[in-house]
Amino acid sequence: MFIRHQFLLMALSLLWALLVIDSTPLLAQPDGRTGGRTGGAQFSQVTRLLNTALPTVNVFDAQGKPLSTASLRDCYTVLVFGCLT
Amino acid sequence: METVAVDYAPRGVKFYYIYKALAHPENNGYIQPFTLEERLLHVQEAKRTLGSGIEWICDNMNNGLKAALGGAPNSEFIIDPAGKIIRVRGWSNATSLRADLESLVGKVSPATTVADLKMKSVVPKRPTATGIVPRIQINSVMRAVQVKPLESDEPYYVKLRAEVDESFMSEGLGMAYLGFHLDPLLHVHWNNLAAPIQFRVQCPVGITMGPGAGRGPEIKVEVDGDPREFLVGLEWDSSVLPANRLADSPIIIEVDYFACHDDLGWCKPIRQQYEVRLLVDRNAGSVRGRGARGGGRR
Repeated sequence: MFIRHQFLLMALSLLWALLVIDSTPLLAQPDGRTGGRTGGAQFSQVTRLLNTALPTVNVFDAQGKPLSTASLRDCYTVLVFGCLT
Repeated sequence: METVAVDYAPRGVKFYYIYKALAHPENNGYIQPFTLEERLLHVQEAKRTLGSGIEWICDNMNNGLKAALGGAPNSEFIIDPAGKIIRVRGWSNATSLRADLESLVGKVSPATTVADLKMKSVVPKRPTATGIVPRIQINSVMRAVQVKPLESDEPYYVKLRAEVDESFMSEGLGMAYLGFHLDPLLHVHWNNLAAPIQFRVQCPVGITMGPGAGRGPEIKVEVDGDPREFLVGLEWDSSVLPANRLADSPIIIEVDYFACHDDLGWCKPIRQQYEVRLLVDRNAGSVRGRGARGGGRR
């Protein structure tokens, strides 16, 4: 049954606004494209990491062997995120 | 980044790409992996198609490293020998990276150019015909919600992507997209000589999805690789199911389909189940160009 109440709508709107708060900005990206959900908020999350220790996270090498980011030390190391798309 | 790596790896700098969840599923037909093994297949595919000599690190399936490093899809970091992050960039930039390393390690001259590398990228394989089944056209902004495959003896050759529209986001009443996509890295195709894909929905009290079942179209050609997509109505009554119980109240979707693997010579019926939670999935990526021939951009 499809019943709608004004109060319910307001509550739902507020909840979804909170849930998708990072979802709506279709910001231009540095290469000039638009769309996607990476905006200034995420970039600021990145820049705040400057001068902090690399977090220790358990990940994997390309063969699936466990690897800790704590091992990425002892020399200058460049990390770049990427994927197939 | 390749040219910078060629110049600075001999100077002791280490370079890694970190493979993370797809930013734009459906581009070139790729879809989000469900398991670590599948994500490692993506890594191998990236190595094969991009022609890069840089090592890959594979993020865990909780996307832990992506979350720990700010969540941006193409960010870049330089770590010093003590393990401190000394350069950050929200979007990778090879020119800026080279300038950073020049200041840290010294200038390399002449710098390697892209033309010097003669990199051979490979076009992604699309083993099965696409563009046969019309794609769903959606004009609304859609947002991916959380999909969890339940235990199955078989790989998820077909993977569900679930999204909800703006109307549902703002009013709790709208449409949901259910897209069943073949995983191109598992090399299967639909068997259109058998019964079309069918799904059934079981909703918790407080959520209504209608219709509660669906059946894919009858296709005249024997095989294809197009997604099977459905738009269904969706309503959430938060007075019955409060928001704080959404995480514990999944929609169960059961799907039956026939899949064929030509190289392995099998064709079989498969039944699998998913839990769908009406919570935003921040790692699902955004689909661009849904409805383009074959799906996504190329």
